[in-house]
Amino acid sequence: MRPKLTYANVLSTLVVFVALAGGTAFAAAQLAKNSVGKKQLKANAVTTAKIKKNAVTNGKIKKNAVNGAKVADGSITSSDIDAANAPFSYIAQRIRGSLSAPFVENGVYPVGSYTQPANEDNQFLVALNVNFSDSCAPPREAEAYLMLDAADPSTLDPTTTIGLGIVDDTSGGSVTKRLEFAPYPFLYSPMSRTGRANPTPHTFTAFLGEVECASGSGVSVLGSEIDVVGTK
Amino acid sequence: MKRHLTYGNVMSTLAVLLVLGGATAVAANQLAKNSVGTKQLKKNAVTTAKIKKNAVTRAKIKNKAVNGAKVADGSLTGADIDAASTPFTRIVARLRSPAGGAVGLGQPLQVGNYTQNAGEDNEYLGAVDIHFSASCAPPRQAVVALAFDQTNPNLAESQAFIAQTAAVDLTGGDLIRRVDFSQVSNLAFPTASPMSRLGTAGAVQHSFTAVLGTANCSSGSGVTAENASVDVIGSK
Repeated sequence: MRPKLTYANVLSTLVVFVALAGGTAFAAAQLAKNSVGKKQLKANAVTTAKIKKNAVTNGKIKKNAVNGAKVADGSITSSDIDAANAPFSYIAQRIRGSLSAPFVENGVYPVGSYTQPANEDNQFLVALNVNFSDSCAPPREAEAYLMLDAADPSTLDPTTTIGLGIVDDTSGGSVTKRLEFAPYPFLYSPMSRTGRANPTPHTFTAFLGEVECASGSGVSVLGSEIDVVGTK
Repeated sequence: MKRHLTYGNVMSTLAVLLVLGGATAVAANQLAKNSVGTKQLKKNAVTTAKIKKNAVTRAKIKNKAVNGAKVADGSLTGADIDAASTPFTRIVARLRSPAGGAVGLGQPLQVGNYTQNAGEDNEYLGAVDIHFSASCAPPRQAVVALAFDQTNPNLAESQAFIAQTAAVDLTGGDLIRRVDFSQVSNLAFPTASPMSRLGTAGAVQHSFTAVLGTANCSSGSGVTAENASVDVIGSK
């Protein structure tokens, strides 16, 4: 069987080469649906460019696969964090009141109420918005005591009075200022509550103290603000 | 027959067999193992449905590839965060007096010890149960002081007191009041120190003791301090 350089031999050899070389291309071009499984895929064959945009969804990522090293520095913001289930301090409650009432000595003003979650320490920042009217001549001043969970808010009880606030004005005219409460130095109860085993409802009231105008009258409370800083 | 076994015949027969064999292989999904590499894959060929559940492991994710936009809003909880490595304010120690421990007038109730980390500011929030027994007739009241780094817990060291709290009861019967400690004023106790400590260069050990300082019943007796707690809130 000695090959000869005949037309038939050259053509048939060409056909064999075409069949061998083009076979794979032919096969790839004509691959049946779902014919490339994990066995057919080479290791590391799937590179970034082969993955369609947004193809890697939540279910495709293994649990705990994403650690700090995988997260771009400084890219996590507060909207990504479930603040209520994070251990950091944050303003857990913003309680606002808009009751308008005259600032009357020995009067009681309802500041607000909320429920302290179980096992969450709470610290309080509290203010009243006090308006000195035009008819109350300067210098003018108002003071109030902050009470927490007082059984009788019309009586100053040293175990339930947690703060004292004073606001004054020398400018005259109609002016609204914040009366911010500070811890009262001689009392036994702080402007905070440690977390209890169960959720605990709290009520803030203000016992209105001295109110003075150089002449005339006209001081009122326009509203209240409580920020509860929670830590757990 | 022998004269037909020419080179041309053999090659053409082989070609026919190769083509037929290849076609059969394709038809039978017999694509060889590891035959599909990067070059064979089209760009964007790998869609969501082609990726197996949990297939993307840590090693497959490039460092810094995940940013806030890829994190579902509100999905990160405390368990995901190494809180101690963050600069945020949080409770760094929870000190509790021994369960069942109750002390009477003038007796120290050990709340606990902790180590303040270097460079970390600490604030303290504390509370205690004041227990009036039924044998203590109303009106009745009690005051509990919180001592900090007291060198001798059996001695009243006024300079060690940083906080106090009180309970008053007019109703009678067996009653437990949980009350929170309030900062002792410098006006009342000039040597009082605050319910906080600035961080120092080195770590510092601290201790807390609660002392029932006053217990008054209109008649009878039976007041104790129990379940004292201090939460240490750290910022750095």
